[in-house]
Amino acid sequence: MIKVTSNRFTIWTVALLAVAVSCSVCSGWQPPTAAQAAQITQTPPPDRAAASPTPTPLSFNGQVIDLERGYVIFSTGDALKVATDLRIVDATTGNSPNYELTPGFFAVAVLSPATGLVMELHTSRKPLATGTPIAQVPRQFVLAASTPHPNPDLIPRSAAFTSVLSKRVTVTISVNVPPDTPFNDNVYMATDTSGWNAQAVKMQRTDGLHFRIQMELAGGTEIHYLFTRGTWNTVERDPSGLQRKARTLYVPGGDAQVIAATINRWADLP
Amino acid sequence: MIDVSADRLGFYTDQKMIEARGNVRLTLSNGVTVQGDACVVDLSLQRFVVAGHVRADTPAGRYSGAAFADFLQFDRVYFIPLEAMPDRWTFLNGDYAHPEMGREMPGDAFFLPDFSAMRPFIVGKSARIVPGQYVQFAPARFVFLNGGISTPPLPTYLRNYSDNPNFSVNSLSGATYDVPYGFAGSAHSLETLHFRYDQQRKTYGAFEHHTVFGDYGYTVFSLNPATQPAKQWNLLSYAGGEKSAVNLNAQLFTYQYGLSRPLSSNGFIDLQETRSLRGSAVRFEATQSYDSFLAQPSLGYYGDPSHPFRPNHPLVFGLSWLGFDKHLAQSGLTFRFISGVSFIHDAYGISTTGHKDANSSYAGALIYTPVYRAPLGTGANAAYQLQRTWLSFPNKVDTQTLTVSDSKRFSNTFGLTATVLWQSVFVNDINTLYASPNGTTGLVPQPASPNGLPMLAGIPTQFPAVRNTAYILTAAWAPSPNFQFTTVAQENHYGPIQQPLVAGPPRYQIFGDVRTRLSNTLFLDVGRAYFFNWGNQRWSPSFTLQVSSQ
Repeated sequence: MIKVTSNRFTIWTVALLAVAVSCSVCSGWQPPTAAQAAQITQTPPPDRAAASPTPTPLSFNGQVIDLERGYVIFSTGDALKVATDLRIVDATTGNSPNYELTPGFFAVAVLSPATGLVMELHTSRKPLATGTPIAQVPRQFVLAASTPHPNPDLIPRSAAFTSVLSKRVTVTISVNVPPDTPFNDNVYMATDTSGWNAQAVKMQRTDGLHFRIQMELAGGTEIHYLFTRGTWNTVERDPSGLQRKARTLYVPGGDAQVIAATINRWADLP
Repeated sequence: MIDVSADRLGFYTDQKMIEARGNVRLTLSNGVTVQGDACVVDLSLQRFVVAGHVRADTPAGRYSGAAFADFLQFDRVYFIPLEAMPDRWTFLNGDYAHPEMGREMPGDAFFLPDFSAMRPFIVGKSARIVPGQYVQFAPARFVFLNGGISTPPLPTYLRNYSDNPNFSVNSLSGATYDVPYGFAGSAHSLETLHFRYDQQRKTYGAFEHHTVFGDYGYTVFSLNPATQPAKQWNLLSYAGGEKSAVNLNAQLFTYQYGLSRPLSSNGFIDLQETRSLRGSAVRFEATQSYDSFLAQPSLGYYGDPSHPFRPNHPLVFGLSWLGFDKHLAQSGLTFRFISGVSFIHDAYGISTTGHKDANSSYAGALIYTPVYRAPLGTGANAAYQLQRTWLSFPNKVDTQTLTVSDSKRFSNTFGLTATVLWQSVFVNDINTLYASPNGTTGLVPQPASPNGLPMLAGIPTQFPAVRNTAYILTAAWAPSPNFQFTTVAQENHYGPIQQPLVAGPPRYQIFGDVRTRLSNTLFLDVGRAYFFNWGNQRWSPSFTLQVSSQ
């Protein structure tokens, strides 16, 4: 059995060489050596295969906050080592950038896979679309003296839900006004974000006792506010007619948030 | 407190951020100094980042690196050192001697916002920032029209962005336009110059000072106008808490050139004390007026030594009681009561009555329904308010207001409200009234009313029995948070007489208002009324036009 197999191997080898020779006549392709032919036919299993070379240079883009002492540091905090013959070009023109490379410019860093050094820096004053985001750079290329470890501050709050898909949150504020509110008066929110402008946010009447407003706010926004009828003489008061603390609106995240408020009294009405 | 200096410094109000470029130097109140190439301070999030050739001088020594970010509210400093090799250090709770190395950092800790498409509102070279309170530029150069116009360097400008609303208490009279310029202040005070214009005084300047004491206290002083002889000196003060408060309001009117001896001087002082009780509150209020503060002239009044010089100083004080809202058993109705007594003294006679002393008392009630579901998917509610005021002249004033509304929301963005508003005022003697300076008399205080009687449809009450029935239709359309349109159509039936240029409000009027977003923080409000040829008046004299920040 072994001998038969050996004969088959010899026959197929001769046949392949014959085909190769015939092809080389027309294409100029050189026939593989006997050793190469043996490799073709004796591919090792994947777990024993040598590392496949990276076909193209690695390129990573992001915002650069510093370029000094042989490092380029991105706004993610990731530092990459640059080659001594680092080439810096404008990403659009391919020439030397005609603007100052001060912190905050954008760049694509081209790394040599072999050395892990940044060989080229393609710069721009606007974010670039090419390359892999720097946050995804393989860790072996990032230089850091210490071993990374988790930060307990970054554990999300249990009540907070944030999503890339819902950066803006639709916040609806509905307020129940006192029944003696003059009917033709408008109701506003005075906010700290407006410097306490008494007419910062105008509300819409929904019925005889309610006004509402819909706003789109970023998750994490915190606003302090008070209701007014357009001036600080007509600001809301507590049930006793005393000044009240500013209300607080915190937007934890998610898609929508509804707030129902009640105004007890107005400062100018008994 | 953070002191920032740099070659170029810009304040982006829309973003509430300050960008500094070139030889940036930050000095923190804890003694830390940070230098670098660029810096961005986020006033909203109360954090900053310094990047590029960073040197941080801390109590524990000097560190050099690529970036330094301080999250002030959390007492966390994130640092990228480049001493021997890049690393990630976090300084916790102000401990610069023992950085936590390798600790994960927020993904945007060192991000520098791109301001290339924006123009700063203020440019300068240095700023002082008190997080959560104010930012001060010295000097400040203002940029308008997207960089088209910029002012020369102006003296110190302070912008207060505190979350304490007491900084916004206004002691100035109304004006057609008002441009405030804060020039000094602290976490508890603010000094502001106002450049103002109104129809009567034309262009003038004013000064206002604020001092705030926590959530429940402030003192506001102003001089308005400061640049004209007819001056008004104002003082507002409030001190208290959740259970009681004292409120002072004083005004002094002088005629004086500069700060020379006044040619005339008069004023008033109003003091309120409010105390919260169980289910109600009481308020004491006293108002003392002074016809003149000047000493008697040596030659006597009007230059006549025999002419007596006895300035009047009428006094009104009283006690009012404010009931809280109470539910009427299980009926769904809610009610509240109010009442009060007061004493009036005027040595020269109270208004036109000839009485030197008088007293008044009043009692009133308000009852209202919640919004009930009504046919056709609408919501209906009603409120009824009545009050009787007794004056010892004698006189008696009865006021009533009945409001019935029916509303329907057609969509999330559009709704209609139809309202009938019925109001009446009955006075026993229209000639013996009193223009009250405060509310404890039960009358409507000045300047809201010229004679103490309520205004119906914006018209002063001049007859013993006045009624008005108004039919009001309000449409509110808000297709997006950036655009709102409101229109109010109103028909008035005023009695006893409703004639153009004689008495009563316009029979028909319609008012429209559009509010639309101009920029990230600015809104434009445009409104105008139409009176359907009432007394040859069609449109209101002018548009109401207002740009407000949000």
